[in-house]
Amino acid sequence: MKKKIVATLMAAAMMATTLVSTAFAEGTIAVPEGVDPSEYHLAICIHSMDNEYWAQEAAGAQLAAAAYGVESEILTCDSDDNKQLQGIKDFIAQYGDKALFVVDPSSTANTVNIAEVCEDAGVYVTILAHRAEGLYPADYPHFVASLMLDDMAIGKATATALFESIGGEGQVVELQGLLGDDSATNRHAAFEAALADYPDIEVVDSQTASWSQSDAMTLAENWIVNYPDLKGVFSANDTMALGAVEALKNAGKNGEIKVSGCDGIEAALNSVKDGDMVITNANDGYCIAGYGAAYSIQAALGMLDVEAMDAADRMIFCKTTLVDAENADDIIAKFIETGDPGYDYSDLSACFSAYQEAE
Amino acid sequence: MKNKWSEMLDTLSVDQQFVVKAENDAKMDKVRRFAPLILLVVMTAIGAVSQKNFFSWANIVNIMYQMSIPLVISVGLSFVLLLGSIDLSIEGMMGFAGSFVAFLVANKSNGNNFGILGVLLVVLIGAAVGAVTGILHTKARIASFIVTYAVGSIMAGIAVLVYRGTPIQVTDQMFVAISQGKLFGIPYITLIAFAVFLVGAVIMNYTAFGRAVFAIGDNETAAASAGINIARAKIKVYALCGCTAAIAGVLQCMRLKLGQSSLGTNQMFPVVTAIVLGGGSVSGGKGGSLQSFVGVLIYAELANWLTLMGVDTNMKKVIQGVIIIIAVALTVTHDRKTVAK
Repeated sequence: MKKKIVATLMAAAMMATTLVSTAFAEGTIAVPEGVDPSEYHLAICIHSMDNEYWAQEAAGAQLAAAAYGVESEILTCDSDDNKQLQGIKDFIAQYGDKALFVVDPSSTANTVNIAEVCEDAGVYVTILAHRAEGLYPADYPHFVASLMLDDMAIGKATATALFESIGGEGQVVELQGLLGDDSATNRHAAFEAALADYPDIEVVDSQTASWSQSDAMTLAENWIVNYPDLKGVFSANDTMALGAVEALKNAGKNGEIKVSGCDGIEAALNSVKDGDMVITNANDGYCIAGYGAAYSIQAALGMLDVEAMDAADRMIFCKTTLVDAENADDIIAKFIETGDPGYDYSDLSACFSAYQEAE
Repeated sequence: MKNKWSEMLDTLSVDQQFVVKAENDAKMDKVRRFAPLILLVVMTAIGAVSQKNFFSWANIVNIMYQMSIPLVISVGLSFVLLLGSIDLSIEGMMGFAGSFVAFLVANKSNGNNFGILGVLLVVLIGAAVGAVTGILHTKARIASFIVTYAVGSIMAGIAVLVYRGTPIQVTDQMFVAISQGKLFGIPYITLIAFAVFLVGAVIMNYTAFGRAVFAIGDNETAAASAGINIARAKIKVYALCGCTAAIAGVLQCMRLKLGQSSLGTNQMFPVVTAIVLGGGSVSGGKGGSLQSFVGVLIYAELANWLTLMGVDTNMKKVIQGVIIIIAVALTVTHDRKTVAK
């Protein structure tokens, strides 16, 4: 008797889950004859949901899956390599060759394991944001593509916008991310690269605030006193930029001393809109994870012949959006208020910004 | 091999030896007591000589801003360290308090506008959670560094659940006014921090509870046989520390206008260091409010000075580490063996 009740409950629970996930499945994109997209299951592997950018990635991949009528599920790993790999193996065990993946890897090193596990199982995977050195999609028939963010180009663009906003000359300071962190290193290099074109910009100090808002605020308070002619603050992420903005507000200098950020978190978009920050970059999880999912889905549904693809086309940088006062309202509406930027996930080339390796 | 000192001791009788040792200890004690003050004066002098902006009013205001939150944290933490225990939940508690208060006052994520009531509620929760920590520590006999670490991780987790990934942007006018306003040139935040400090100092120096904490830290067995209710005193200490950590979290949120768990990150160890710099001891029984105040001021001046000097980030860490080791070596007594209980 008890067993029966449990079984009924479990069946009910399973049906409820199915109902929830099919609620997304609208299937507006045409798929080949004889293929039932709702048989396919996309696993959206991300770090966790407690970060705006990761949540945006999940939303983008869900939108793409819904557009194709594919089921989707979110797997979080809390940045733990083993947990992510185990999640992927469990998902394959559950859905077999109907499983497919879009993965924001727990670490760069784990990308090799992910590619190999998926290759062994013969299921398609797209890996976002990181790729271990020597790992090429072309070597794996089921590793559809590597989609990354072009940290150098992004950092250079925000730095250049900052320099332009202060007329290309004067004193600036740099807020660096956590020492030894990949992104921090890349964004610092990008800042230096941008500087090369502006000989009249003087970097009076460059310190790490370790991605922390309060550390950045303290540094900015001290800089404001020490450098009365300071014109700009380059920050490697939005959180630190917002710390600098608070220090400037207390000194009555917000808007006067320009601040640049990066990432596109909600508070920073508002700050750009209010004129307290001059620029940020919306890294756009909807784009990279949404199109990442679309690559895997098209491969699984037979719409994309992976082995016939050019090797270079499988290693690309994705588009992101620079946000300044002019488009801030638009970006806030698209990314925050509606939670759907309205991308056409059937056109894979729409996310392309550059090849990862210039030939 | 014998040195002169022990040769001299050998020539004395036992009671003479005792007198010499006691006199010597008293002398060393005096040096230790004044070492932090000397350090503060030296630090200030170096700052003033090497940096023209160091003594500018704007920079003094900065130092006041930057010492405010560490000072509030130090009030409760001083009691905990006096016991010879540690409270690792401070950062998680701050993250929770900052996130939850942002959720309760006027903000961009929801329609709440509880104002000062929200602040009071958060501070009360802080005290209550602190009391629970104290009960777990004393009644369930879990070592302080384990139970407080666990509680801190719970609070940090709840903090993230409060805002679900998108940090809450505070728009409350009271928060804006407090973070930017000044009275006679002194920031409101600093005045609040001084007020919290004064309350803490009065409790520590003028109440039976304060004396009990000193007694327990010095010798728990003796304190117990003198009739002090050890468990109750410890629970009160953790409640107080939770309360000040919550106040620190609220103040941090006022400064940053963004409620997120990370606003407590890396806030505790600098304060432990500051308290030790001021003459407190991590093994209990030594220290006091004034010592903590001096320590926090030294630490804030040091950090401020290093930034004004434009010292390279990596070098800064090295210098801070070296100064801490020297200062602690000079101020800590070497005859006690216990570390954190």
